[in-house]
Amino acid sequence: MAAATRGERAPAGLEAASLVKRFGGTAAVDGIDVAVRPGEFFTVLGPSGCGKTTFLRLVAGILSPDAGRIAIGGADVTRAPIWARRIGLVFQNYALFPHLTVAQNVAFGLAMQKVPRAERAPRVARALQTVRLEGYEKRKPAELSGGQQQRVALARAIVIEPDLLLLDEPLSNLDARLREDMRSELADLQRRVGITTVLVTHDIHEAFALSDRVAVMRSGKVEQIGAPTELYERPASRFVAGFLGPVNEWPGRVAALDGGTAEIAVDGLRPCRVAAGAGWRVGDAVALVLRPERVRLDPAGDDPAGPVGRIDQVAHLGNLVNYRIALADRAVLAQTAPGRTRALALGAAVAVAWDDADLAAVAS
Amino acid sequence: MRRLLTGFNLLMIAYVVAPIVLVVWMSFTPSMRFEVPLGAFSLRWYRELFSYDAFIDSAILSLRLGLVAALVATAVGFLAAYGVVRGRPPGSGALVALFTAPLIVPAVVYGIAVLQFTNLVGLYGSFTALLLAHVVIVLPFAMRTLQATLEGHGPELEWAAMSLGARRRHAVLLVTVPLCLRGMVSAFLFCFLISFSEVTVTLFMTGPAHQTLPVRIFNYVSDRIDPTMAAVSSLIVLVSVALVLVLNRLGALGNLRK
Repeated sequence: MAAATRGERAPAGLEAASLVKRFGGTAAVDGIDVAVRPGEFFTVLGPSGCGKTTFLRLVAGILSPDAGRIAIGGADVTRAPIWARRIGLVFQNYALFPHLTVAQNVAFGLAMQKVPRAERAPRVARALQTVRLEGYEKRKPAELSGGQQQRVALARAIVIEPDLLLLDEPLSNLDARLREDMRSELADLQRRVGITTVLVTHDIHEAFALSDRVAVMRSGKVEQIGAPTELYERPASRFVAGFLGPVNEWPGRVAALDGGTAEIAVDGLRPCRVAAGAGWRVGDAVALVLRPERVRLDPAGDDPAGPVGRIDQVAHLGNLVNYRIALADRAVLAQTAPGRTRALALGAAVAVAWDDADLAAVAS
Repeated sequence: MRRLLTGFNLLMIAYVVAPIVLVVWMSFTPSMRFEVPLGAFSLRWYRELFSYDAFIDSAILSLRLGLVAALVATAVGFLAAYGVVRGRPPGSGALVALFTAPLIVPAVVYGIAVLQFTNLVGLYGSFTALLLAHVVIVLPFAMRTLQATLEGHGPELEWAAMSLGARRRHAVLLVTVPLCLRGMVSAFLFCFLISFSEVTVTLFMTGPAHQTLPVRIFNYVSDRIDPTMAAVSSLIVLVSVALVLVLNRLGALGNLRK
């Protein structure tokens, strides 16, 4: 299948170096360096207004950067027009040509690239087969559901065998159930076709479910790039930690340094040992972050496993239970599977425990 | 209160429509005078009208002028609207104001100005001069209609087309223009309607050679009055009403109000 759709071309990488784009006085993209590996599924994740769509438009050639360099498959395309970049674009609103049929939509790119007429029909058929839309050739986009329209948009993008597939919030217009279906379908498709893909989204689940690597963006800059688990477990900043989900954040100070390990003192908690960051000195302010699901709660006995607090909020989510524990003058968030700790009711005294290995230290 | 309002509305409608109805009615009189025929109807003045070459020539001129002016204005208006809507160049507000200025400049002032100007460049009395003046007059209508149309179709479709390898001109021709066709037809009909019924500026522009239909009527009635006028007016009303009905169907009247 991969060979059928990609031909003999090897996947291409994307490189963006010191990319800057200003609108008026403000920099929407403020010095971005990103290297997407050939064949990789790469996601740019961030809140609205962080510059992720501007970044995508710069890569697509819709916008022209004020500074920096863009290369696709090693070739500099910084000043190349959009039609010379060999990219496939998929938009949130599908952007299908409403006056053309499904088959004509998919064939549009082939006609533009002057593919001989005889080759077009089989390639259109193959692309529609790839997105599981055989039999819809003669329909108009308006006669299709949102998910089907998005699949036509994907077929239209991949049929020209682009070097790079750019997806701009492609699933955001679909309802929740369909979005999950399309998410797994998109993952399958990308793996089968083997095309280098850049996805832009504000949806953490989408980013994590689909991506090999994720870049988290904030105010025009990349905060951190890494595999989803890496970002989640080892956030490099408080912003990344908080953006990727609820988190306990404990401001502390470096109390001691011992080789690669630092001992962090946090008011009201026991000292914690974490890997020392580069250039840390004793007395530096550091924040520890810990995911709620890494917190263990035990009914406080005679020999508590950690500092003791009182549960002041319980929220049952079905497959999970969220707790808030008042501990000294801070609130600790914990998340557990229900059942195992049924004794934990509102007002109960609990011992809060964790493994230091689950802590991540970020500059505060 | 409600009844009073309804009454007032009916009165206003009658005030606007009654003269037109009367003119149409009078056009069927068999008599020599301008009067409302009661009982006897005749097509005499229509026959009279069609046997009067000057009117036929004027009608053909008006038709030709309207069609060409509407075509040029629609084409220029599309390019201008495209540039302003998609390009958003600095000072695009001023550009829009410039293109729609003919709506604000008093027709008499523009008439005198264009008379002087065409005289200066030696075009006075030519069809070209008349055409250029009409293009300027109808351009605001094309511009407004097409601006609204283009704003209704975001740039994503063009981006999609260009990402598939289409040059900008191909993206515009193959995607934007087909989608804006309705708006373009509306703009064209609008421009035709405005051009076809324009009197003030045209009066300054027409020598003896190029009398458009409204100008011919205007000159005719300053000479004498007979029911031929009623017949020709009726025909013009018929054409206008037909065009307005088409425009309404195309939804173009709403665009203009924006």
